[in-house]
Amino acid sequence: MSGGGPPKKRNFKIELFKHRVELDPKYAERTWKVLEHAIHEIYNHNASGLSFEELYRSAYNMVLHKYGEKLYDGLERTMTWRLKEISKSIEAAQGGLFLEELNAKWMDHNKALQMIRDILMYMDRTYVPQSRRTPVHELGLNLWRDHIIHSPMIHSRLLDTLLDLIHRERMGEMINRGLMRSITKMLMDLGAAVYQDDFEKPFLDVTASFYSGESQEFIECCDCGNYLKKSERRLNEEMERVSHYLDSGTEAKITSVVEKEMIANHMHRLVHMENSGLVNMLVDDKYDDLARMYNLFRRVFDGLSTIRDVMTSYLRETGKQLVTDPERLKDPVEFVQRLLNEKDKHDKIINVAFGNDKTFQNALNSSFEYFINLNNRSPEFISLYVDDKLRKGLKGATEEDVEVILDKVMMLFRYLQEKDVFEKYYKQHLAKRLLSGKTVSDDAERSMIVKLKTECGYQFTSKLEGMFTDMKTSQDTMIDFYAKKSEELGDGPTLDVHILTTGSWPTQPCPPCNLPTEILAICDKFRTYYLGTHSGRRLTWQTNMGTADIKATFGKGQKHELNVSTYQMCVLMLFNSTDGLTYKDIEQDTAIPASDLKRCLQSLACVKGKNVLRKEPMSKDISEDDTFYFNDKFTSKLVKVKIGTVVAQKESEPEKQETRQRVEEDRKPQIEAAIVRIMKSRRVLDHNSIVAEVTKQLQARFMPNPVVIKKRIESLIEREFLERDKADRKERGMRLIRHHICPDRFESGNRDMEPPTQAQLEAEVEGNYCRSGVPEGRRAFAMKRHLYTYAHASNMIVQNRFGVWSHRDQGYIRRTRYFKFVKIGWGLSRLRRVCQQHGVFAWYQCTPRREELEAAEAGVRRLFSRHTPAWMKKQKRLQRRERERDERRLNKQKRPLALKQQQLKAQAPMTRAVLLFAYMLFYLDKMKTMCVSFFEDKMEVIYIFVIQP
Amino acid sequence: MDGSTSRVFSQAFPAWGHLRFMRRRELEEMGFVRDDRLTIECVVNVVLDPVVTAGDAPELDHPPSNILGHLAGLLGDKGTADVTLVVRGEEFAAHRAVLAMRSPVFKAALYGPMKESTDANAGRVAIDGVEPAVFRALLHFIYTDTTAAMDDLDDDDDTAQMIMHLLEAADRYDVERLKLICELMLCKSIAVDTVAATLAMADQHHCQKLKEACIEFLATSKKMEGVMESQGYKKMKLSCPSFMVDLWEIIGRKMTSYSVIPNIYARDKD
Repeated sequence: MSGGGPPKKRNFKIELFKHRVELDPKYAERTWKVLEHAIHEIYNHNASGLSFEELYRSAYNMVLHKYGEKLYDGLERTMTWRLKEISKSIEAAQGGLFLEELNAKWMDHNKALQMIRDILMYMDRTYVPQSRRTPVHELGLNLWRDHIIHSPMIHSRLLDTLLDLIHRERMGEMINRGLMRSITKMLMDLGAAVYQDDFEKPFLDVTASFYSGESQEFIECCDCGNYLKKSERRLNEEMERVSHYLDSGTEAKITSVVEKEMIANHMHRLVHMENSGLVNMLVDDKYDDLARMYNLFRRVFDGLSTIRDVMTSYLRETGKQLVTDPERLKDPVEFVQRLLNEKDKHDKIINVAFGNDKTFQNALNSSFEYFINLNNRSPEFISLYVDDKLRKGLKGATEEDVEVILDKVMMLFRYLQEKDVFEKYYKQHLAKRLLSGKTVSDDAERSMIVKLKTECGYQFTSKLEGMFTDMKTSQDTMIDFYAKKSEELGDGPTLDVHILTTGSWPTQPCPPCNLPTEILAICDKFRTYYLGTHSGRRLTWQTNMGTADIKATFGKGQKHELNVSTYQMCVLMLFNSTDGLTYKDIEQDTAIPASDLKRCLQSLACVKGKNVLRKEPMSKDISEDDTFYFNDKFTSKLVKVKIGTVVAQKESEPEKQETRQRVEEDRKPQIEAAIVRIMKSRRVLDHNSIVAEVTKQLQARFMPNPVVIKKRIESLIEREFLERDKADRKERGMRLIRHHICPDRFESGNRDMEPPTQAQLEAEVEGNYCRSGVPEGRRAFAMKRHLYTYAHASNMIVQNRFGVWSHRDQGYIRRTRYFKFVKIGWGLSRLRRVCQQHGVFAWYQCTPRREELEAAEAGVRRLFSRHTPAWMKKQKRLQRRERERDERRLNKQKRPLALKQQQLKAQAPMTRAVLLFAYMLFYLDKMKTMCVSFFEDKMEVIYIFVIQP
Repeated sequence: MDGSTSRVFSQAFPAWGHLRFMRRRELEEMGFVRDDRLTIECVVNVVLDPVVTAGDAPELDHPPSNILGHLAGLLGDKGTADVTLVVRGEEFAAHRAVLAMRSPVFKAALYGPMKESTDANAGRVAIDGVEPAVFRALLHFIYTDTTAAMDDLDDDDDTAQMIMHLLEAADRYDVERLKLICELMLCKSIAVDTVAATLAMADQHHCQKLKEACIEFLATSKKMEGVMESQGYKKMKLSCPSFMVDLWEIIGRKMTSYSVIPNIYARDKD
């Protein structure tokens, strides 16, 4: 500051403040002339000669003296005149210079506008908002829009030029992208509406027609893969264009246009294209093309579902051929291997090309499930495949390889509907492996069992595990037997016994054959030993499953060790005493069942290189008139000769029938158990619902047949487990539609999958488990019990933090939002029935109008509060405060409160419905008393109110 | 069942649990049940609020901000000034950046493309229509954000005049805060002999609050005669009669809506 006065006090008199009044009438006109001149100078690029301070002061004074309107109008007039001049010069620009001229003038105008706005800042700040006029800058833009962009000479020329440039770029020419960018930015600056109306809409139309033509051209001459490549490139080009010189809001619009023209319109034709469509891509593993197709089709509506549908139908078709081709059925291992290969192939496609899309995985799974179950031998074949792998296929394979193979098998297993059939076969095959000692790796066996267990639960594998335990105990028993009895046995044959628990093994009762005397002796010794150590057991010899090693000396003195089955051993031992025997003799002496005998004689006499017996007459098949001789001339390079029984690996037709029948038999008790379980929880249910529920419960193991279920229900009624609902019979004639469970039966909740035997069912009827009033299945909830009496009936209520179980009402009441628990004195089941009479069948069906609901809620609340004693209100208030404090603290700790609120929200409609019905019934006079239980926060108290209306 | 799960219990979540339960037989199968008993071991940690005593943490205060002091130091600093403002012959050294920061008008003037920003005048800008004393006060406010410079003035009358000038300047250079401060000060010092002049000024410079305050004063005070005799009123009558007509209409409407309300603006001035 240029300090003038002395430091202590400045001694000047300030000029008296004057109200500014202009007396000169020509003042305004003069001042405006100055400003107008300045505006022209600004447009003429002569701004540097002007004094801002002076111009600003002039404008300021004009506004101060109430000449704002004159100033504003003058500005508008001057600017309009200037813009008309500019428009003429733009129109005059030739050809390619047009855009450049337009852009240059736009830049000039912008600069000038900035300066004018600065000069007239005071007017902009005071006069403009007061008299509600357009601010100066906006005014400038509007004038530019009206006089330049919308001028008839420029408007269409601008659009044509832009579209022409874009078209040329699409055809491969280079264009000035910077200029394009400036022009589109100008259009955006003038307002989104200008950009959209004057450029974007026509642009999109032109694009659509361009691509509809191009796609038609492509699809005529390209195969599917090439077409997709071209479409992808076009799409990327358009997106790049937007990023370079169009507004980013255009991207979604332009891509949707291209998608529609290039993909959506030709989707079906592309997918089904001859020789190069989707099916060919799948067959030839064209990952790139498939990925491209996925990415492009994903963009359009219905695109992915089109791919998915075609893929599914292709999979089902090929799969169906695979599983029903009789050629393939000859070799089960090959059959399963093919399925696995097919699965691997498509898994890889989905993983590589379809980005592991869940919906595609589901489609794949459902297709496999569909066609695997088309062939009812699939369970058997899968089991045979596992058998094959565990017998020999896994030799030399590492642990990881084994796991991989077993995992794949489990995947197929998951697709099976008849899992119990698989179990049956697996048990048979496992038994054979274990008893013949053929299993390669114990670890692999156990790993398979663990997998089955995780898939189907403990019940499924308990018997399989029992088989392993039996093998172990048998080993121990034999060691013990020989340790104790070795001196008694002397040099007789060695016996190795497997003790099989009945029930765990797939044994069929078979009459024992006549064992040779040497063997019989040692067998008896073992029997006495075993029964001596284990009292109360019964031993039955399963001669059809054993094997034997015997030493034989042939004609020229060469010795061989023969590995044969027990039956074969019995037959061979007969030839110790004679040289020739007829079939009848052998059958009589050994008492082997005819089919087994034929098979074992066939393997002894008819297999080349292993024919230790000679048959007359020589033929392939065994007939009952044949005679057998000891074959002296038997030779073999090996010392040990293994004579296998001729066993059909695959089951023959009658055997298959038999197995199926056994499976059906096994299913019966399972279905019965399911019915009983369901009826125990529901009490009354109509026939169709029972069938539906049973199917739902059992489909993890097999698909029960409704006819069978019906038969089981009838059988249960016969045995008086169920009874027909008498009330209903009246209403609906004689049709069987409802069943009552007798209330005192089936109190225990046996929820296991184990089919209950008749004895178990009886035991349940006896009520052995019926000690507490709470069903066992829900006993976990029984944390705290209260005995209350209201409405002249005792009611035991068990509660925990999830809800309340009411014994009398046999209903479980969930926690609700308003009063923690709200219970209608009737019990929810009865309430539900009344609701059904009113045409509402489930809580969620209740969608009353909002006002109704609110009115009802208010009514119920009033009812509650009227009957709430004062001390309780106070307590509730305190608790509410505490809760709010807790919530605040929670918020501070940033706990996931949102989740809790979400849960509350999800719960709210049901609660509201309950409240509504309570209110409705109350006012319908249907209820004589209403009992409301409040359960407070911390579970200590239950309040029960009896309300007499 | 994994023995290592830990949960936090609070008042809001007093209990945790599982919705799924184990089958009794499976439990027995696992061998944990001995003599029909199952032993469950739980480790409960009780966490109390951590106690921090005042002595533990040394008091760490941020040093107070001093940018205002530094800015005030720039006022009149010729060494760093890059523009000279000439007001009726008196020269003020100032900084373009500071002026532009505080007033959009200065910003447009000093950084625009016109004469003031070019070096042709050697950084001198002539300012017309403001008194040097008023401009000094304006500069003071621009640099220090306070209006202390007015303490120099002799009497209340001068102060009032100064404030009016200052308000005018603040409005011209769009120093919004200063304008509001001036308005507030004028509101407090409305008196019978100045109210007419104040009102006229408030109207001209769009000071809505001040205007309302003046009208309130006129409408509720019982000293209409005093007002009419004041110098300001007489001048107003001469200079802009049209405004007076507007004014009376507004006051007339106000008077009917107010009945008898204690006059809070009355001062013992006369």
